[in-house]
Amino acid sequence: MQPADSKREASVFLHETMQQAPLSWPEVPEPVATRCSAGAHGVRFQYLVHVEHSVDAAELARTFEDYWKARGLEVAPSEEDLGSRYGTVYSATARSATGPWGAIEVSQTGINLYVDSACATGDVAGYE
Amino acid sequence: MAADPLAGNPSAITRIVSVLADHQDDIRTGAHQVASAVEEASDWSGASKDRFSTTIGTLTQAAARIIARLDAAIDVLGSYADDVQQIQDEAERIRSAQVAISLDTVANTMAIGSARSAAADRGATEADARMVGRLQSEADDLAAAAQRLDAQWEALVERRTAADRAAAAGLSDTDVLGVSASTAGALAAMGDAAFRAAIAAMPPEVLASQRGAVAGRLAAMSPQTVQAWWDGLGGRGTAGEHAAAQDALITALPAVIGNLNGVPYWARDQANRLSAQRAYAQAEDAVVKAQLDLRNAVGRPAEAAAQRKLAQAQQRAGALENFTAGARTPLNLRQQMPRQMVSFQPSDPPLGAFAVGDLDTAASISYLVPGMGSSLADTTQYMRTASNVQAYQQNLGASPTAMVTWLGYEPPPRAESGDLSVLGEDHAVRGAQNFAADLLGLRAVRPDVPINVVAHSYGSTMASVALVVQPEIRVRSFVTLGSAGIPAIVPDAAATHAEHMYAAQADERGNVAWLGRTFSFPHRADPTQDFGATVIDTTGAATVDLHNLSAEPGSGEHGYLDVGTKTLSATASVTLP
Repeated sequence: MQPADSKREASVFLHETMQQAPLSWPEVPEPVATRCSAGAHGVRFQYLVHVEHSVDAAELARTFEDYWKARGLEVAPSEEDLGSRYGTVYSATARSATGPWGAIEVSQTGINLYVDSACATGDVAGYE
Repeated sequence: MAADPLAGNPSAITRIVSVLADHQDDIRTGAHQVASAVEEASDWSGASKDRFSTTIGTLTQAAARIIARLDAAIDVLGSYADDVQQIQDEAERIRSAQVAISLDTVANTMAIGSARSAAADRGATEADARMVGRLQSEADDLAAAAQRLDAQWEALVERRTAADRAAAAGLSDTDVLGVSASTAGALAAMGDAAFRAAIAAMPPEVLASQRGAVAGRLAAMSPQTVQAWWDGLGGRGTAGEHAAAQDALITALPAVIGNLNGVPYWARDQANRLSAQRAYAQAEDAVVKAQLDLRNAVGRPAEAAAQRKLAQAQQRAGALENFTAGARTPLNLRQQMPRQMVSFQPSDPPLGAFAVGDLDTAASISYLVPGMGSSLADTTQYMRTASNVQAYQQNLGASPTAMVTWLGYEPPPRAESGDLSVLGEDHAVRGAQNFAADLLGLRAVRPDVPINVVAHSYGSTMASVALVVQPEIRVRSFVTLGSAGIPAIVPDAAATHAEHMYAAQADERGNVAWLGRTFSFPHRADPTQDFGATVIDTTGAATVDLHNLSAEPGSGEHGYLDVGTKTLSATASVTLP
């Protein structure tokens, strides 16, 4: 897969995921390249979009998990109690046999939404 | 020894003057070009431009001083060439006159002999007697002239001696050297306070010339002493606001200042970037040379040796390329943070540390210490992994800890290479000295900041040794991830002097950490087993099943600091300010 195709596919998945929660999503920033195996060299693109929220964190996390499950992804949820100051953080990962992957970290005040593209041909050094 | 008025070549001295004038033009042009580059880069802004502008400001001032010194040297040499030329012209005139007088004297002596014979003859006349008298008078005149010429020659010798001395003195003057020879030689004999005052007053080009005398002396001073000295130059300062003497030290002695504990991190950052860029450029040159050597190698043994050298050169260049890329590589953070090249050693292998966060002001500082097989070649990969911790903290609405990717020791190679030194403690003991020194340096300038250590694999083996021998480091959270084992010198968590110790051990593919501990010699302990550390759960939305800190995304595996793991959330939680 070419890098442009890999990024486009991940970007579509990211925007469709963002649409599941009516929040003030920011512009999607440029992804960060990481190394992966695709022949001699491979590069994967990781998007991170952060948005603040003031709704129920658990419910918000479930919204994304349900959406990803409905798309046929294998979803693994988790939660971590960080005490009275920061409350519970809800996490989930969503895997697919092919195509991009997703992950969320939903705190009491914000969401980190990660999407990893499929591995594309290229060298991560070209993106550093 | 008396000077020879005829010695030397004034034309050659004049040619040196011309070469120096050409150097002046080159320096003037170069300084103008770099200054113009800053002005023309109107679309470039931010910390990197500030750093560049600061360095260029120092450089153009240094260029002006060097041009002035070359002016002084040109004046001295120009005058000397004129003097030597005049002395030689005069010397040749005297030598010619002396030769003529010698010939006249010989002729006079012969004539006197003949005249005396004629005057003694029976038929001699009064005229013969007068001839003898006249010739004798001429002989006296010739002798007097010869004496005058000898005196002139002696005067010329004195004049030449004076000209030589004047030239030597002129070229040794501070106007030319920038520092008197006696001052340079006296640095070693100075007391510490006088030494620090002397180097603080030196411009960068002079400091650079005294590098050998200064480097070891500064490195031997305690971080507290260095801090007091640095602050005395103009306060702690910042990257944008500091003293000219601090600029001079950074520019002239980057390898010293960049690793000098007690110096603030903004200054170390500037110095280390200079050193690392220089080392990278040299490493690239070495690759080109190794490629050429390989092409010219004849015979299999020579080709094999050249191939090995090329591979080594490429490995070093690759490591330095990745380390320098740490300054710009994109990171997934909600809000970007300043970066600092905390340390850099152009050793073999090169060593260094890169921070995401400002160590001079951060509310909490955490060191990520990788394990076996790590090197500067993976700096950006480790920085991306460390940024997962910071992104998690930013999502909580917290000020994230500054993360230092610390690659300041030579870890054992991966066991797959056949080298099993990971089972021993040698690398840990040596590395612990470096790590403890760096942490003590931080503690000296930030006495109250919470310091955390997040150590992976053999990094935890090394870090635990550093913490046990240096209790004054006062670590708040010591986190071990997939530990290769804690040496017997650290019997339990309390011995690390950390306020809290946490340990995670996943069910790793290949049981890498378990193998490292089980076959270690002397035997090393598992910090998750009755060690006094709080054990971290390795399950989560992503369950850790790989020894690495991060798995390849999409591989189906997860490392200890991958998104979705409880090891990530726990690490983020215990390193919060």
